[in-house]
Order: sequence, then C-alpha cells, then structure tokens
Amino acid sequence: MMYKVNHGGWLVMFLASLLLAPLLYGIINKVKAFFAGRRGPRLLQVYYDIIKLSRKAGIFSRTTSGVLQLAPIVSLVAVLMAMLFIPAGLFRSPLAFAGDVIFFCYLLGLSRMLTILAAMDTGSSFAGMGSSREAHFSMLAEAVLFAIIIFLAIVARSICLSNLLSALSLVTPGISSPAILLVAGAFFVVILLENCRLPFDDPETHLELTMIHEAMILDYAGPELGMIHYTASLKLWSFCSLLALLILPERVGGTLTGVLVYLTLIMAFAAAIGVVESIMARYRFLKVPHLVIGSLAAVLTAVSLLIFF
Amino acid sequence: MAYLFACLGLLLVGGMTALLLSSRPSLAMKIGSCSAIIGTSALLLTLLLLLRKMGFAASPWEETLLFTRGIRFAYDLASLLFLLPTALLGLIAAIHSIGYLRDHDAKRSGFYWFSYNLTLVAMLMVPLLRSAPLFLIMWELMGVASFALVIFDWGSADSRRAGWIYLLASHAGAAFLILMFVTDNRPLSPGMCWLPVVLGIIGFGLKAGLPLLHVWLPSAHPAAPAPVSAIMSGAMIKLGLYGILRFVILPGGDAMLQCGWLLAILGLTGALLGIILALSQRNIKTLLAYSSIENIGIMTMAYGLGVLGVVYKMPGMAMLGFSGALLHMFNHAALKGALFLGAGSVYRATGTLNMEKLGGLMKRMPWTGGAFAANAMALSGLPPGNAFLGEFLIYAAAFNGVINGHGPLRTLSLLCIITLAIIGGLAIATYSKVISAVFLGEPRNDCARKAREVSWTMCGSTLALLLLNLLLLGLTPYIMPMFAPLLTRLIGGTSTAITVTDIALLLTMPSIFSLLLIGLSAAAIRWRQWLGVHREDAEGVTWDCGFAAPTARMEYTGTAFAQPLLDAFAGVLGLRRQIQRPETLFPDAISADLQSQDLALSGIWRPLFRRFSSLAIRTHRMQSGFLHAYILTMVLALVVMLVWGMFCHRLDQPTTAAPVVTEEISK
Repeated sequence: MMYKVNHGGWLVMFLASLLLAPLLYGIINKVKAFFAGRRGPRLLQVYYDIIKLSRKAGIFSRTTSGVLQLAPIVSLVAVLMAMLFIPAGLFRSPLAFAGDVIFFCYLLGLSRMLTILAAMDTGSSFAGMGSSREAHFSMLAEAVLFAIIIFLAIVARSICLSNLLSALSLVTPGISSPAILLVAGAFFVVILLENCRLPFDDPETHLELTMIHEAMILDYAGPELGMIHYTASLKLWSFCSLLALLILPERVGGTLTGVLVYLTLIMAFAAAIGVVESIMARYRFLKVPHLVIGSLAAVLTAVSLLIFF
Repeated sequence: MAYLFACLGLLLVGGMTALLLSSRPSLAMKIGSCSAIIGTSALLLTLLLLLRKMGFAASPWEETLLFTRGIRFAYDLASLLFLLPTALLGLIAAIHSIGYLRDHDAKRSGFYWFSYNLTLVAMLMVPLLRSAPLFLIMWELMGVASFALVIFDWGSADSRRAGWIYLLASHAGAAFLILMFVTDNRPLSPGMCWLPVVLGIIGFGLKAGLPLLHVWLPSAHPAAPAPVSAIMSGAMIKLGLYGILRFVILPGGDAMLQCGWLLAILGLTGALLGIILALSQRNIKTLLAYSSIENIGIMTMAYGLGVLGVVYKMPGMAMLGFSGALLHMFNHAALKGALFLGAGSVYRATGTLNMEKLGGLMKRMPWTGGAFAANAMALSGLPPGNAFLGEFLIYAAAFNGVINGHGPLRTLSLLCIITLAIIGGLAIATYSKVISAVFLGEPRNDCARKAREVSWTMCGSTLALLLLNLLLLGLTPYIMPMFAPLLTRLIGGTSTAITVTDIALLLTMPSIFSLLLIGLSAAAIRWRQWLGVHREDAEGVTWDCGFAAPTARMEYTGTAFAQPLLDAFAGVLGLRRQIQRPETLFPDAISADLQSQDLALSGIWRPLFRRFSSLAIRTHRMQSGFLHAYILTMVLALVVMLVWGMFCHRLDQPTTAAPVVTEEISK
C-alpha cells in the first residue's frame, strides 16, 4: 500500500502543479460564466493577471509597518513548502517524513495567521472584519481537517501524508463506502471553506462588508497582490489534489494513465466548485459554523463506523 | 557541585546586601542586579555542564550533593531539566529588571532584589531537596518570597487583592502537599491508593495552574512587575509540573491508571478553557497568564498520555507523551518569558497594559514589537517556531494512541487531537489579537502615539530570548537524546521498540524544514527588496470605502476581533454585553462592550469563600470575652474527647505490646 517511488516523476509533477495551479481559477470562472450564460474571462486570464501584477510597483498604506509587506512573501514560501509533502501525481514525495501531515496543516496555519496580521496592519475596519471571520471559521476548519486525518491514520496506521492518502480509495475493501463518502464530502466542505469559496465566502461580492478573504487583501496592489493570487491558487490546487489522491486507489492503470486521471480529477473538482458557486447563495455568517460542525460530526461518524464495524 | 551552593550563596548574600543598603537605592540596585546576573549565569553554566554529564553518558541516575541529619540534597536529570528554565529566566529577567525598575521603582530596589534573589534561591532549591520537611519549607518560602514580589506595587488595590489570592492558593497548595506526604508514607488499603496521587495533583496543580485551581494566575501575573511575571510564568508554575513528575509519576504505584486519566482530562479541559479565556482578555498580561494555563494544560495532557502509555503497555505513546511534555516545558519557558518581558517593555513605554488603548507600536518600538510578534507566533505552535516541535510530539503521541489504542484510550486520544487542533486555531486568533491590537494599525491613544523604544537592557533581553528560541529550534534534535535516562525511567526502564534516538530523528525533519522556511523567506524578502530598488513603491491611505481620512477610531479593536469566536463559547465565558444604542437623532455617544468572567472564580471560589467567611463570623460568637465561658468550653471539649477515647479507641489497643517489652528486659 504505497505510492510509486519515482523522484523524477514526482519533481515533474510538482513543477507541473506550480504551473497549472492558476488554471483552476480559470476553470471555476468558465463554469460560472457558462451557468450565467456569459462567455466569461479567458481560461488563462488568471495567468495574465498575475504576470501583469508582478511587473508593477507596490503601494503600501502609510499606517502599515512592514508586516503587510512581509506577509505575502512568507505566506507564499509556507504554502510552497507545504506542497512539497503532497504525493503529487501518485508518486511518493521524496521529502515525506513521519508526521509531515501535521507540519502541512500548521504551515497553512502560518500562512493564515500572516494574512490576518497583514490585514490588521492596515488599520482598516473591513480588514478587521475579514480577519475576525477568518480566524473564527478556520479554527473550525482545522478541527474537521484533523478529524479527517484521524480517520485516515486509523486506516493507514501512519501519520505520513504519502501513506495516509495511499491507504484508502473509494473501492478499498473492508471499509464501508459510506464512511469514505462522508469523509470525502467533509473534505470538500473544508476545501470550500479554506479557499474562501461559496457558500462560505463570496469572492465576487461588491460589498467589502460581506467579504472574508477579499476584505483582508483590500490594501494590496502590484507584485504583492500577484503573490497573494498565486498563493491562493496553489492552496486550492493542493487541497483539490489531496481530495483526488484520497479518492484514487494507489495504482490506476499505468503511470501515464494514473497521472492523467489525477489531473483530470483535480480539474473536475474545480469544475464542481464552479457548479456549487453557480447554484448556491452565500450562507449567513452566523450559519457557517453549523455547516462546519455538521461536517465534523460526519467525519466523527465515519471514524466510529471505522472503529466499530 | 560546590559551585551550585556557591551560586546560591552568592544570590542570597547579594540579596541581603541589597536589602541592607535599601537607603541607597542606586547602590542596592547595582549590588542586587550584579549578584543576580553573576549568580544565575554561573549557575546556568554549571547546570549545562552537569546536564552534559548526566544526560549523554551512562552515569548514575542520581547524585547526592549533601546528606546530613536527614537532610538530603541530590540532583538527577529531572531536577536539572527543571532547574534550567529558572536559571535562564532568572538571568534574563534580571537584565530586564534593570531597565524596568529605572525611573519608576528605583527607590525600592533593595527590597526588590532581596525578594527576587530569595525567590530564585527557593526555586533553585526545590528540585534539589529530597527530604519531605525541607522540601515543604522551601516550597513555602518560594510562595512567600514571590508573594512579596507580587505585591511590589502595594499601593494599588488590585495588587493587594492579587497578592491575597496568591497567598491563599500557595498555602492551600502546601496544605495538600503535607497531606500527600503524610498519606504517601503510610500503608494504605488497596482501595485508597489513589489518595496520595489526587492530593499531589491538587497540591502541585495549585502551583501549576490546572483548571479550577488556576484562579491565582490571572490576577497575580498582571499585578507583579513584568520580570517577575516572566519568572513565575516561565519557571515557577513549571515547578508544579516538576512536583507531579517527581512525587506522583516517578514513584509509580497502583494508582497510575487513575492518575493518567485524571492528568489527561484535567490537561484537556485546562488547555481549552485557558485559551478561550485568554482570547477574551484585554489586559496583555492577563491574556498571557491565561495562555500559560493553556500551555500547562497541554503539558499535563501530554503527561497523561505518557502515563496511560505506560499503563496500557504502549511504550511509543509513553515516550512521545513524556518527551513532548518536557520539550514543550522548555519552549514555553523561553517563549512565555520573552512575551511577559515584552509586555513589560510596552508597559514602561506607554504606561498601560490595556490593549484597547494601544496600537501602532510596531513602528515606534520596532525591536520590542518584532521580537514580541515573532515569539507570539512561535507560541501559537506554528512553524518555524520552536513550540511547534513540542506540540508535534504531543500530536504524535495522541496519534499513536488513536492508531494502536483500544476502547476508551482511543476515544481519549481522538479527543486530544481534535482539542489540540481547536486550541491551535484559537491560539492563532488569540495571538493575532494581541499582536494586532498592540503593535499594528494606528495608535488609539496619546500614550501609544508618544511611545519610544525602551532601553537596551529591556530590548536586548527579549531579543536574547528570541535568539535562544531560534537556537532551540535548530538544536532540539541534538538535545533530545539527553533526556534518555529520564525517559527510560519514566516508561519503566524496559527496552522498547521506540527509543529517544527515534524521537530525535522524528524531530529532525520538522526542525530542518523550519530552518529552511526561515532561510527561504529571508531570501525571498531580500529579493523583493531588490525588486523594489528598480520600481518606485508608492505610499497611500488605507482603503476604507473611499473615506479619505481613516482614523484609529475606525479600526477594529481587539474585542471586536475576538467577538464572533467568543460568542461561540459564550456559555463558558459568562459573557456580558453592554450596548449603548443611539437614542436621539444626533446621538452623543454609542458604545458596545463585551466582558467575560472566569466562572471558576465567580461561580465556585467566591461563593465558597463567602460561605466560609459567614461561617467564621457565626463562630465568632464563641469569643465572648468571659473567662468563664472559655473555661467551660475547654472542660466540655475535654469531656467530649474523653468519652470519644473511651468508647472508640479502647478496642484498637495493641495487646501484644506488653510481652515484647518484658522479653527485652529479661534479656
């Protein structure tokens, strides 16, 4: 029960994911445009945006103290480092170590705390609102994420990301498939929440008052904004690929087929996010914890199914 | 080992001299601070040398320093590990004190240094003493000497109240410890073997700040001068954990199962309650004190996991639990010490500890602010902070329990992991709140606006601790094997599948990646600066919906930041809202306020003490002032005792005593 060990293959897939990550936002936007009956922005628009932003000079508020400037850089480094532990494309990560899944979660925590601090550095009340909500929801998301890890750890008897994900698939014998479906569903909720998508956060709202993530980055411009967009897409990519790896068995046909299925699945998740965003409205902020705690309950049910049946 | 006593002697003599020279404050200051700094740094060096001897080599477990007339001084690895934070923080807080006392409390420096050195000596003696009576005396001395420091600002009613609570808690703890020592030396019926364990956990828990027993911490820490809070929070409460380790866990016994469960559940609740209450505070030091309760809870939980690992024969979990607790103890000492010292610097620069009145200090005090922010982020358990390594091991212990355990143990480990995850999220929120309310944004008050960077002694001490934390981050995998003798003793001395080296290896990767993270971030920041040379980065106004002149009043306050999270835990916090709504067409003032209370204090201890005092007032009637009445009471009491003795104790008389005596005489 292990992914293939192929360091070269992993490296290629890692670089490919760095390159392909912004595409996910393009797919989401295309799907949403399709549902709205528009043509929508080009598939590669996010790339153009990031490239354009990276050529500009930065603008910083006079209130800020340098935290605003440091945060996106360190945040990007943290997310990049977190991606090193993902067994990209069904290849075991060469840097995997026992407990890397905890390190992974906490690296994302670091990126989150930096974003919060940078937002508070601007002294804007909108940024304050956004970061307050982010701190609240992400705490809940973290609990769900760790519950999912517990489920996987019981199956895999390991706490290494590469082993955790390979131990399970939709067709694993001996584990009731409702349990796996519950976990996968909860993980999809975590993806939506962690990446600030509907129904938790509306990335396209025009009111600063109702934003979470977008309110926190209101004061960014130029290369910093580009970095933030890129970091966000990397984060979305890592989460989608984790879900893909969770569902896929450790061997799918040949190597090439496996990689293709993996990539297609990630794109499909992006499309699914687009569909969710097109057919759902944003929840009231007060209701968000209910949904997240509901998914925590779902995972805990799955864990007890696993333990007792 | 003569060095150890020489250092302690130097501390004592320096303190005494400072007290005697109280009339000449500047001289007392010099003598007091010099003796403290020289004494503690010499001690630190000695400790490190001893640690190297005891840790790595196959040396005897314990070495006796002095053994006369029933008084035994000895040290082993456990003593040394718990002495280290005291010596270290004693040194750095002494340096910070020089700046902290200048201009403000310089006149009373003689008294300060006397109490400071005495507290340090008592704290350093506690882990060395092996005989119960002297241990208790030193334990009490530690409480009394630090009480003098807590009420150092005795002019303010808050300080006196805090001191009072502290004294009560300290004495109550000692009382439980006396009971523990009494019951421990006595053969108990098998059904009662849990009694010394529970007594010990309560007695030491009162010092450590376990849930429900924690009430003295949040009042004593803000009242004491910052360097003292740093020592108390960084080192003294850890001695409570030392006591639990030495007198409850190390002796073992039949009650280890109950002990493990008690510790784990107490730790879990303490950690969760501590961080929730921390989030709701607006005084920096109260917040830090509650966060100490949280961290003590995490360590206690790790102890619990360790003990349960031993009981359920899961050496991996036991190893991970104990080593995680010890490692987190170190990291927390260095980090929390630094944060309290930073809070002290903020207090000296602005004159307030209320977060809602501060803000924007990062630009005005960049060194203090930078060190505080970095330490606070590390204490949230995030990489690349050193606290992550300890929490990593505790997570690993709990995962070990989930994977290999069965039944209730599995459920407990599962709860531990979820709680740790929630605590992680709440810690991020809490420390984001402190950093942003105190250091970021616009200053909310004149005192914050006029703040300047503090003197180099204060600044340097927090920076030194930051550097130490960085060192700990890199060196932990190398230091870890040193714990080996203690850990093998803790898990029962058996050879196990998982060794300390394995744990050190487990930590190597997170440590390397954390250092890499720091390096890469620095490089990326440098690169961005280099980019900025060619482009002209502009300055602007913060975006507030087109509003041209955003002021500090439009900023989110710390309370506002925490409000949604606090509402989620309203039941635990006893939240009270005060909202002044706009009333007329042109309202003068509107306000909204959210206040929390510690339900352990207001729900349990205050009513209990009120009940006690009313009982005391009622018994007061017996003190009528008439001699006849007193004599009558005594006679009555004697009669009662006589009757009791006759009826109850006659049957218990040993009947075999007499023949033995005659036999001896006949020989």
